[in-house]
Amino acid sequence: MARICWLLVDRVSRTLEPDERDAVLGDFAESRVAAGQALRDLLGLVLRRQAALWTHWRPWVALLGVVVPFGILLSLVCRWWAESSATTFYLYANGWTWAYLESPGARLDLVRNGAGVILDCLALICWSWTSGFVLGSLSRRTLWVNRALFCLLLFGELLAVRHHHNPYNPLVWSLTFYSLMLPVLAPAVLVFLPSLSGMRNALRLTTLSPLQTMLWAVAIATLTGLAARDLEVSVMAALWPLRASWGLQLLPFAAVCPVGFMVATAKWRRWLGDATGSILILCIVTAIPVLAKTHTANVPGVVTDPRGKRVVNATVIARNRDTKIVYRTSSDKWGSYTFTSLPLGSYDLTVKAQGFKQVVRSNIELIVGATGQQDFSLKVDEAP
Amino acid sequence: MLGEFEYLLLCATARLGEDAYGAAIRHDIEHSTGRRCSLGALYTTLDRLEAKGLVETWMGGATPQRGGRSKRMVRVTAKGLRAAAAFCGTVVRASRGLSWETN
Repeated sequence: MARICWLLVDRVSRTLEPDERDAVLGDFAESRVAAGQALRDLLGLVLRRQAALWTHWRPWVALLGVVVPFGILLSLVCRWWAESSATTFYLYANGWTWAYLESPGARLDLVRNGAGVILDCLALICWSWTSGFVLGSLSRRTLWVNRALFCLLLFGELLAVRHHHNPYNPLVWSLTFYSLMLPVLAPAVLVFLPSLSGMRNALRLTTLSPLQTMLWAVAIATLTGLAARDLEVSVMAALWPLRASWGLQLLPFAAVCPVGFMVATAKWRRWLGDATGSILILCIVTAIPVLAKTHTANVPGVVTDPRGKRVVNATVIARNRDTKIVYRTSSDKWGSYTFTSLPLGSYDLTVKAQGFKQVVRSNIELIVGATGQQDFSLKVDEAP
Repeated sequence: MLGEFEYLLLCATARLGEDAYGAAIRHDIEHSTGRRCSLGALYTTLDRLEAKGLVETWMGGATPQRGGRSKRMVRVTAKGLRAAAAFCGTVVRASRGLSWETN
């Protein structure tokens, strides 16, 4: 027990300034104080020191500007990623057949799914690393409190919302790995560890060199632009009242905020002599996701039956008439569906549901930033 | 005007002279008052007194009985001596003619 207490004393004392830590541990050694007493004394000192630190603005900015928004956002995105990727993993890992490599279409699907998973993983790692770096830069001595709160928010959603956001595919959820282990492993590996690495780097470096900052900025901006659609969908899956609201359009901006901070605080003076470089790079970083967004459009809608009741789990297919690429989604328990960030162009929309006649709406033009509502009223299929 | 604990800390530091540092001050306060002195109160009060310019502190040498770790040495400044004298004088004047003995 005493060994554990001394171990805790050693760990907790690291939150103190090096000189103070030296003096306090030296006092303990000289007084030959018992381990439990030393731990109580030390906790009292650390609490007083922390309380004093929280009277400054920096830890509060870190808490309200990074921990809360990014803890929630990354938790939701990660949960969605784990649940949506589970189906893909199940399909290829548990149900592997060489037929997946036989036809060009199946091979293209395999590559597309694999690339999607890797892209989402990279985006999550980059967002988490930069969030961790900003957190470490803003709250150095209060970092352990903010880190604990970040961790709580990250894993808290798993405890608070036990059911899957994606209730379909019960076969996948019947396996412990997909229903329990993947939702825990994903935030641990893709968010927690990279953010921890970002925090450690921030404690060592405070600011990054312009070259490192630019590399991060370009990587984050590109990944955010590419993964913007997944970002929106993940939040919509968890917070359905946000569906098709303007708030979702701002999400990509939120994801680039940490790297924006890194750009603004980089050592640009040596390079450019003033702050114009920071502003320039910041503009480029925010412009890429914006440009990516302005080349897409959202298509929300509601599927109803002849009596106006919502139709659940109807399959909605959007087929781009130029590229022939097919996008699929399904209506939820409120009969609503949304295609987010569809590339601009002309589309054919098809709606299928069991017991209803198929409906096709052709030649729907999507223009920049449009949110064209496409509601469908299905007719009952009376064919034998 | 000093607080009670601030005054006790200045008294202990002045009494210890060249040997005034964290553990010794704490021991002196506990010995003279018969009460426990918490580490948190000691070091945060030292910081406050230093910020007011009443004491000055510096890191001293390491000794084997401290596991090779340094001491935080403390010295009362001239301003600190004046503040302690003023506090003591106020307490003496305020207590004049009073007896706190109980039956």
